[in-house]
Amino acid sequence: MSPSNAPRLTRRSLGRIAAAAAIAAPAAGSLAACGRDADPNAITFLSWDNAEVMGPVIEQFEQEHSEYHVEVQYAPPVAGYIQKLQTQLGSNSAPDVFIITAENKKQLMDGAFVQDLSGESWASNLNETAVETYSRDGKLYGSAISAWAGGLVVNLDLVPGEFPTDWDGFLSLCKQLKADGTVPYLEAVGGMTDTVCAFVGMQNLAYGGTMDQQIWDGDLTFEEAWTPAVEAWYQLFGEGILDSSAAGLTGDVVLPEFQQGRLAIMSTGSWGISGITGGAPDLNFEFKAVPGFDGQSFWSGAVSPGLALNTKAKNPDAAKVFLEWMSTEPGVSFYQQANQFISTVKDYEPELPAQLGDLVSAVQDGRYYLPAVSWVDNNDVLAGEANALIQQLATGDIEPVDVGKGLDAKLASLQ
Amino acid sequence: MGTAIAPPRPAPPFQSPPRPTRLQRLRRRGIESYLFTLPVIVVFVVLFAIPLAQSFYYSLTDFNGYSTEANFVGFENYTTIWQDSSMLSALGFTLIFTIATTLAITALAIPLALVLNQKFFGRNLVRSVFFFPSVVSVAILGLVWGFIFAPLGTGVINSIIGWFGAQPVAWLAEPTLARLSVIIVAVWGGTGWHAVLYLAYLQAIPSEFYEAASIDGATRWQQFRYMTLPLLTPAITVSQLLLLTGGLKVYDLPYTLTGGGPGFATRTLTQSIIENGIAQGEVGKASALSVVFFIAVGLIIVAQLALSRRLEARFS
Repeated sequence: MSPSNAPRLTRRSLGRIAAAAAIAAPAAGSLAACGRDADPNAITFLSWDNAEVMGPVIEQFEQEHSEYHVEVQYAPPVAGYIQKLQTQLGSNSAPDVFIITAENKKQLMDGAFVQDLSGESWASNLNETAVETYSRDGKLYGSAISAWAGGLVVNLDLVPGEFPTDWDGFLSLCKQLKADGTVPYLEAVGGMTDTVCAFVGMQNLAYGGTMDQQIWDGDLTFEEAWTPAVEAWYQLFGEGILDSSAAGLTGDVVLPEFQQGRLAIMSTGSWGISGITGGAPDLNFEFKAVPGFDGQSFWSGAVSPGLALNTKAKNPDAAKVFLEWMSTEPGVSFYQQANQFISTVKDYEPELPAQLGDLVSAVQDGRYYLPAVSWVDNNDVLAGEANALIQQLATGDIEPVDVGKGLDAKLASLQ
Repeated sequence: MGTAIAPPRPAPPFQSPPRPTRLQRLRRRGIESYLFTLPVIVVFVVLFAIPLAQSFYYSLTDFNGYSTEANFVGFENYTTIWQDSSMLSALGFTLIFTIATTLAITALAIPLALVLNQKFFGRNLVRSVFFFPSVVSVAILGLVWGFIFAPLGTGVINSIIGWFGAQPVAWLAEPTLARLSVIIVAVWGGTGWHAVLYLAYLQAIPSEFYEAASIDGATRWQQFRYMTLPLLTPAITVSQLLLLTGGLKVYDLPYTLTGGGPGFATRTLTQSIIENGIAQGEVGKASALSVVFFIAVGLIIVAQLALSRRLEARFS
């Protein structure tokens, strides 16, 4: 082709190309920016607690370790957090430090997404139950500094005197309160409640503490193990203490009723104490265990989620400084005082509110149970199914025996 | 001396112009036009084409979202999704929600737009009031309406009906009422926005049309039936397209209002896809559902557009 035939790039067309390139460049630039090196003193952290809870803790860490700064993101537990973390892990954008919990620990360990922390000097400061919860083959994959338990919270002005330790006594008390014109008990049945979990925990004790392993081994079914527990809990509906509206309640709706003295008893976990006292500092209340079949009361609960170190952490050394601070006295004491959780680390004895009552010793003695933590695998799928089944039971769509049957069917479909 | 006439030179053999190279063709069309569309193409490919292809690939595997290994399982996921009661329930509620909100919002937004198109004192304030619900985050709407629909006697609606001696209603606890509650909130939140959309089209109708119709003796109803409604058909097409796509992929409102419960009563397909795919580590199954969902939405939208075009042609 002769040069004269070739279309020429005029000044005008050159200008257009330049303008187009100017538009296209930011798109390429933004993609390229993803690969830039990170600040070596930055610790990225995906928090399970919200900014109100975790913000002051992070500030305290940064004050004590001014050479580091924490870039924190927040995601609400549980499903929302797991979804976000999984997306980040899948796209190689997970933070240096994140939460390992019952619902995702198997996947995180199987996928080698978390580093072994057993060699860290501060690992020996963790409680044995906490270490056992997040360990596999002698390797520690999460630093859990606390545990929680859940049961009943009783307004002592409305329910004076001895609180029953057997379930029939509790039902009688509720009926008496109702007859006297007091709303006796409310429970937000968004899924497996503290009372359901406590009853299943009592069943677990009856099976020698190996109920779930027996189910997974095929020696027992959910129907056999769970039905007595669910039937006992369902008496709340049969006796007219709760009705189907419980399935539409949330903790946020129940809490003001209790704070304002319109409700005698509700169920919540130890983490809920700051919410109660925050709105009603003078309320006379105390945590009580869920009354049991034969006077043996029990609690729902579990070792709290732990902090895990990303295998692909960009700044692992800095992240370990943060983990050490969070797992030992300086961080634990600040975190505990701000949030009133029950710390279980060895180098710090927390001062806990008297309203927690027997709950503290229950946590220290391990007298609690949570199905989603104890299940062998597929914890999250089964937890979702169990939540829906309990709600359907509360609305009267199914019978107590159908809860166990439904879980058996779900487990069978997963295996 | 005679004039020498040069013999005519033979015409050169015909030669077709050389075929332009690809680069030349590109230049002729204007390289700048390609560069201008480059950002959009990058966004489309990165955020749509690649994820869609990946979803289809994962739907044929047992990928769990964590493991780097994914085994090919054929169309097994496509058969298992129909055996999961929660997914079938989600499909049913998603369709109910979509149809109910589309019909209800359309039925309410058009009359509302007609009212807002009239001249009256405080018109702009009233328009703002009706538009306001669409400004607020749907998640916040869900949380606020959770208190309004609270099943206790202290819930807002139950307090009001309690003044008349009625017993508290378990709005979010009874499956049918929970579905109805979600739809009511969605209609409440979307009607104002769609009314503003209709209002924009109404204001484009020349007032002379109505003046001529009045002179010819047309009643208000006849003006609406034979002038306003046909001229609003393009707006109805746009509005219903948005309502259908928005309804089929709804997630945030039911999730914040009921969490998908009670049981699976208000669970939507998007919630199933997200929870199964990510939280429960069944990415293969969720991807199969996503692919089926994508095709279904595509078919519904194509059908809706075809119907709308026929209606537009008929009325115009």
